[in-house]
Formats: sequence, structure tokens, C-alpha cells
Amino acid sequence: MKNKKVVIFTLLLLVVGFIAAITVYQNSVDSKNQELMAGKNGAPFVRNHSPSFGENKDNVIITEFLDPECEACSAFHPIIKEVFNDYKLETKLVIRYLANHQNSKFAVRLLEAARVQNKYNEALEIMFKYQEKWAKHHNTKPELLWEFLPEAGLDMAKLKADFENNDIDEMLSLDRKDASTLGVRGTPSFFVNGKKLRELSHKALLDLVESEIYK
Amino acid sequence: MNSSRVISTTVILLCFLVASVATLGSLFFSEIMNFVPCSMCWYQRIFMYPLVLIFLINLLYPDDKLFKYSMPLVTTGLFFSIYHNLLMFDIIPESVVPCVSGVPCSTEYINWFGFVTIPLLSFIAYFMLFIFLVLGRRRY
Repeated sequence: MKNKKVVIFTLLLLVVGFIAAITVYQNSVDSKNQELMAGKNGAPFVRNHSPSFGENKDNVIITEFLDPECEACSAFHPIIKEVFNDYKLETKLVIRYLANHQNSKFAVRLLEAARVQNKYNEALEIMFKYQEKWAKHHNTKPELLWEFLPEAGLDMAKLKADFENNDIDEMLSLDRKDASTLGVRGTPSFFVNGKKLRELSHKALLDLVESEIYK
Repeated sequence: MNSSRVISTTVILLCFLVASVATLGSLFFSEIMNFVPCSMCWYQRIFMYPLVLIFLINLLYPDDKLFKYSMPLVTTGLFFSIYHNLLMFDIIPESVVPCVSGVPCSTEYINWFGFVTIPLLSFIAYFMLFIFLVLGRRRY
């Protein structure tokens, strides 16, 4: 039975070693990201082209990688909205895009056109509200967005004109490049002052944001 | 020690360690460091992961058949890892790589000391298992 003890001990050692390696690696990534955040105007977490909200009195920057066609983004939207509404004086929310789906780019162009009218959040809200209809799997109908968006109180004629004129390719490609620098492949992904949100839950997001505000 | 045993317990423990480190290491690369595994990597994973449990069970409940059921997995995995390394070293051209989605199999995620790549680590693991099983059997 001595063998079994050795085996169990080895097993434990492997598990502990693995967890230790994960912790060490994640801490090193976090500290590297915080250094990045401190230099060059917050790039690659913040870019001038990105939509951003909040007063940022406490210098806490929340970066969200988002895709309007992504279901998880839609599901998590009420949570980020709630946390951000509580702390919009203290923080700044920066939206970055990761257009991973078939019609993501189309939707992002619409969002950017709505941003011109200062109706960004309203438009995003509508996109998520009707996401099941326009982004149904294997049967997407992005053109339906034109029918839903008036509900956001947009000037549709202006939206159409802005949609046709805006060029978001450069923005999307820089956002994608920054995402890959940061190891982000999926949406939604959050960073708060460069610290990655590792669990998509209300509590985890709130804890991370508050830990940066009351630091 | 069980007298009917063909491979010594120490060697099996070593094999278990190698397979475990290879398994946890590959999971670390994909889940923690977010490297996307290419299809060759998946084939090598398929033959490595079960070895952890096969060695573990043999350590806990020894029998003399270990060589028989671990060797086919090791040689198959070894074959895939040799093929993959030939791709990395450009000995087999990229165009014949059976990769359809996502990442090309010649993507180099890590390069330690100028020559250590993930496929090389995989090859080392399979090669060690192969040697341990072959030599461990004779020595007894």
C-alpha cells in the first residue's frame, strides 16, 4: 500500500503545481497589463476612436470587448449597465468591438451611425432587445434592424446617411489587433484598469470595479 | 512488488508523470494562455489524455498488461507528433497540412531558446513514454 500513497501524493503535487502555475501566470499577465494601461494613453485598452461613457473622476477605466450579435453580450448587458450606472461618476466605460459573427460588422456600423446622434446606448439596447429576431441562428435577418431602430428615438434618415458614409474598417482592425495583444478572443470580455474580469457574473464585476475605486 | 508485473512501478510512475505534465501543460497553453489548438494538436491530445488515467489505474490496481494497452496510444501519438514536427521544420510543405479550420498547424506559439516549440514538447513527451515503456519492460 506504500505505492498508493506515493501515487496519491504525486497526484496532489501535480494539481497543486498546476494551480500555482495558473496563479503565477495570471498575476504576471495582470501586472504586465497594468503597466500597459499606465503608458501610452491607456493603449491597447483605450483608443480615441472608441465610444466611451462616464465622468471618470476616480480614473477607473472599464474596457468592454463587445459584439452586438453575440448572445452572451446581450445576456450580460443588464449587468454591466447596472454596475456602470452605479459608478458612472467614478468610472469610464470604453467599448471595443470584436466583430465575430456574420452580421456583426453591419450592426457595428449602425451603432456608430447612432453614436453620431448621441443615441448609442439606446440603439445598443434595441439591438439586444430584438437580437433573437434579427440574429437568429442560421437565419439572420440584419435588415430587420432598420425596422427596430426607430424605437430608439433615432432620426432614421440621418442614420441611413451616416451608416452609408461611415468607414469602420480601420477601427475594427485596430480593435481586433488590441484584442489579440490582450489575449481576448471572445465577447464579452472586460478589463478594469487592465485587470481582466475572469468570471462573468454581477458579483465578480462589481467586486473588481469597487476594488479599483476604493483602492 | 507484484511478481507478475512486466514494467516496474517506478517506470510506470515516471510515465504517469510525463503524461500528466503533457496533459496539464497542453491545457495550460489552451485554457490559460488562450492559444488555439490546431487540428494536429488535437490528435496528439486525444492519444495523450487517456494515458494519464491508464497509468494511474495501473499504479493503483497493478496488472501485467500495461504494455499492451498503453503502447498503441503512445505509438499513434508519437506518429502524429513526428509528422507535426516535420511540418514545423518545413520538411513537409504547409500545403499538405490537413488543417481546415482556424489555426494553421505550423503556427509557432512559443519558441524557447530558439528551438523549443509546442510540437517539440509533445514529441519529447511521446518519445519519453515510448522509451520508458520499451526499456522498462526489458530491464525487469
